[in-house]
Amino acid sequence: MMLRCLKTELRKAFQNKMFFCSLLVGSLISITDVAQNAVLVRRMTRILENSSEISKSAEGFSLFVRWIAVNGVTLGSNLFYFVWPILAAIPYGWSWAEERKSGLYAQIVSRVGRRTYFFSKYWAVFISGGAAVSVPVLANLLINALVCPYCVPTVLMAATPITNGYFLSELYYSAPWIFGLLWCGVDFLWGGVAACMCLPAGTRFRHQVMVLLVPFVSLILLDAVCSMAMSIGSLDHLELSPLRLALAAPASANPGWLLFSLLGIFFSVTFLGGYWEVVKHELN
Amino acid sequence: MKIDITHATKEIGGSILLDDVTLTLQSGRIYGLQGPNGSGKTMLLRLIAGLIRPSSGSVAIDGKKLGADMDFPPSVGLLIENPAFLPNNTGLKNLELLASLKGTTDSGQIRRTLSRTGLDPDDPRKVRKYSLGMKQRLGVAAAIMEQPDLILLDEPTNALDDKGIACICDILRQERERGALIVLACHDAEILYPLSDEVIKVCDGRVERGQMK
Repeated sequence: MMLRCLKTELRKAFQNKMFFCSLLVGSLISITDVAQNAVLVRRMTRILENSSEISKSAEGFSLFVRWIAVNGVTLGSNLFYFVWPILAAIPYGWSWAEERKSGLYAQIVSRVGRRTYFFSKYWAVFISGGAAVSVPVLANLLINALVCPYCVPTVLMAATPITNGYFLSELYYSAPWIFGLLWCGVDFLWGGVAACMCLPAGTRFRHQVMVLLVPFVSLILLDAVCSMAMSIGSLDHLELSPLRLALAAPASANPGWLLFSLLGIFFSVTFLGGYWEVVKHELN
Repeated sequence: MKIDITHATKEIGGSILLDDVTLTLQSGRIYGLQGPNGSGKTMLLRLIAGLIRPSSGSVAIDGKKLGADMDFPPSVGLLIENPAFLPNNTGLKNLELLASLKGTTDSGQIRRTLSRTGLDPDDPRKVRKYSLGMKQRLGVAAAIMEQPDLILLDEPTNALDDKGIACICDILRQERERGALIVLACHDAEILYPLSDEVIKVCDGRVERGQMK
């Protein structure tokens, strides 16, 4: 029953216009980043045409420095890592609120039960949100590979923002492609938990747009709180804001323990909050 | 199937929506709920469906209490309030999605149910293009397609023309012959009385057993 319900929920999540809209917007931002990189690469290539230090200078605009998840300076990178909670919520975050409002919820739970409905809904929202964030990031890496020169980043490069204390920093300098793919996985998890923030919010707001904005607004507020915490305490060397932790190279270090502790907290809060609202809390 | 509602009261935010309701419902019969708007008909249907739990009292199906021994009646088809579907799918696709949750109904059965309610299974139009009457027929089709033991319908004849109403009444009689227990809320006495084996009057959350055939 659970598998059948999950399959149905996934079909609903991936076969709706909102999922494609989110992918389209994410991909457009991603392509904006590639276009900006292409212009830069072209300009730098002209400047360095007669230079004897081409290979060294090329490191500054190589693939793993210019990738959207690392560079943090292009319009595309700044925009994508600002709006990613909305992109995550758009595909299917609205569904619980919509089904509750329309009455489709009653049709489904009377067939499968509340728990099965919640578990299936949670994973469908999680997977669709994760895909909406990670696919444009992966696409950006692959398309940038056609534009930017490839070289293995070196520790001495001034342009690389990933330093000691960052998650998988050693891998970044030894096997950047594996680092890139693993980071797409981390972004998948961030997209998933951000989308699932819509579930506990689904019973509180009547309008779907309000529900879709909940992850974005919550993460912006959390970002402000984290910025204050980082400025007053001795935590300024750590990146605490989940909004910026989706970036592989935020301003401060993002060690694995911090990254996965925060992901765990977000997962627990959204799962338990959603379970309470969907399964335990009575809908009248 | 036998449903025993014993001294069920439902209170939300200080208002009593169902007040000490005691009823016994048997399979193979149609029970009509009659009462003015806001009298508690829909709330009573939601209580029987397991969508809400009583503040006090109990609802038991074949001796098993809803909310304690089980979450929902084991075999129920319902149309409560508005028929709700995915607007960008066809009627057939919507029913297939709902049927796939339990996996007990094949495509042939779904197509036959659509035809029974007067809808074309091969209609390429999306549900958002359906008229209110067509949505209502689709709602009834969703409620009966799995041949449930318990059918709960809230105003199933809303927005239907005379032909549509006759069609739904025929379907409900056939379902009763099959042995289903049907509870039907309808404000139109001209439809409710001829169709029901027993009419239950609901007023201010209290029930009163009425005419029995």
